Amino acid sequence: MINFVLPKGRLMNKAAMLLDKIGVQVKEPQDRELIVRGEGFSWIFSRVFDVPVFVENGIDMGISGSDVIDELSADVFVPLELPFGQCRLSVIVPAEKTIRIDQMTNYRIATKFPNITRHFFSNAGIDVNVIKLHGSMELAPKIGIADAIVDIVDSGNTIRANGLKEIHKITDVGARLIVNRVSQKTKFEEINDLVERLAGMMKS
Amino acid sequence: MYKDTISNSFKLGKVVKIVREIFYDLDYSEIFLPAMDKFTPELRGGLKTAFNNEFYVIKPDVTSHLLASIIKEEELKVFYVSEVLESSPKGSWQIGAEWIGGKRDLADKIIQQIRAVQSILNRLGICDFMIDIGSLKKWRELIERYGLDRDGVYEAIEKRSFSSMGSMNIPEPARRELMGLLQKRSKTCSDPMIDSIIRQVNDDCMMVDFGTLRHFDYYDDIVIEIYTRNHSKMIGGGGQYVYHGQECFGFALDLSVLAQLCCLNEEKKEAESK
Repeated sequence: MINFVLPKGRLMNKAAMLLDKIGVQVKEPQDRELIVRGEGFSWIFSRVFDVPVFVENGIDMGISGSDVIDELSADVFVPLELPFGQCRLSVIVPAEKTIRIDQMTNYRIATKFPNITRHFFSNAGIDVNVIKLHGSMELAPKIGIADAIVDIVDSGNTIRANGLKEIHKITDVGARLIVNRVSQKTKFEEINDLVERLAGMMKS
Repeated sequence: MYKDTISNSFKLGKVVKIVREIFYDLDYSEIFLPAMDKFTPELRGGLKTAFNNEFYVIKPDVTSHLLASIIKEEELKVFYVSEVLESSPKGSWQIGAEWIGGKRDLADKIIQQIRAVQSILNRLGICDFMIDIGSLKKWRELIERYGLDRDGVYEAIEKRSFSSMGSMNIPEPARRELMGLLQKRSKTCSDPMIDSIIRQVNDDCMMVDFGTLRHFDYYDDIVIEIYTRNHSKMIGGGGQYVYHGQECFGFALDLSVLAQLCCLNEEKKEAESK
């Protein structure tokens, strides 16, 4: 039995479709169920930011965004980059502003990713004030609590609609398969079989 | 201020008492390193701080701290109980041992230390543990033979990333060998030293695993990882390193994991007795 955690939200359907292609059917939750048992798998559905935490602390496998794994510095194996969830983590400012990264000293940066943000600006030698927010990032520059934001950009429509523009890509982001370090050893055959089937399917 | 530190101390103390007895029986001496030491590049981990215009490290990695503290070359067979910080004020408590220098050959030191781990876990009632043994040298040989990008390969190994290995711009035979080594998990291998260690330890708990290795910049070759299916975190790990040309070997066990496993055992026993 493999315990597998999936993120609720936009990654879940794509993850389920990918697993379906190798003959693994994700049993989706009915009503407010958080755990569903299926053939050979126990499916757990959690918030996006909790997936790496679950896997690091004992759930065998999961699918998570690389942004969340990096933000939490999760101590997990990352055997596969999956072909969905591609976007980027970028520095975003109000559209009317003309500014470069190296001119952002003392800027207030709102983000859901404070660790990645601090690391990025610190590496660039820029001292900024990072403000942790949990959502509605685009609001922060509008209401004046931040001068810029660091957030996920997909098509760019949302930031444009909110009068913002992307000035610098920090990193590419995508969905990843992650594995608990101990489970990789104790469930070696089952986990390897799944990883190999997924890798083979993605190659073909 | 952390709450309930006292009851947690009692749990850790129970484990430490048993492990100390075993180490003393095996002729290890206990060492007590200062909580804070002047920063030198040799000290790994720990929490860096400044005081009176000097840089310090609080609770660094014990092996590097011990090696930085040695002033004369002699055989050291020591153990420690210490909290270790890793760039944050939240640390983990470890109990570990180091065997530095002396006349015993390396394989013998490794075998003795694996047996010490077995004794500790058995005495604590943790019976279904496994000890995986791997070789960092195998990876280094492969990297050198094919002239591969060392950092890229190490990063891929540490994440066990098939995607990274698959997308590397390297010759196909090199990729096949890298992937093969990443998947290598068995009871024996073609390494005479590892095979000999496994034969002499002669216990089903031993397994060769080349694919779940870390700390390439830390250890020299042989590494061990200790775990059980009853806990999601590693019980501990260790490895071989070189100090002033002498082959050394050490290991550390996570005291919190040991204490949790002991509590699980007690709960199980209690449930059975009812």
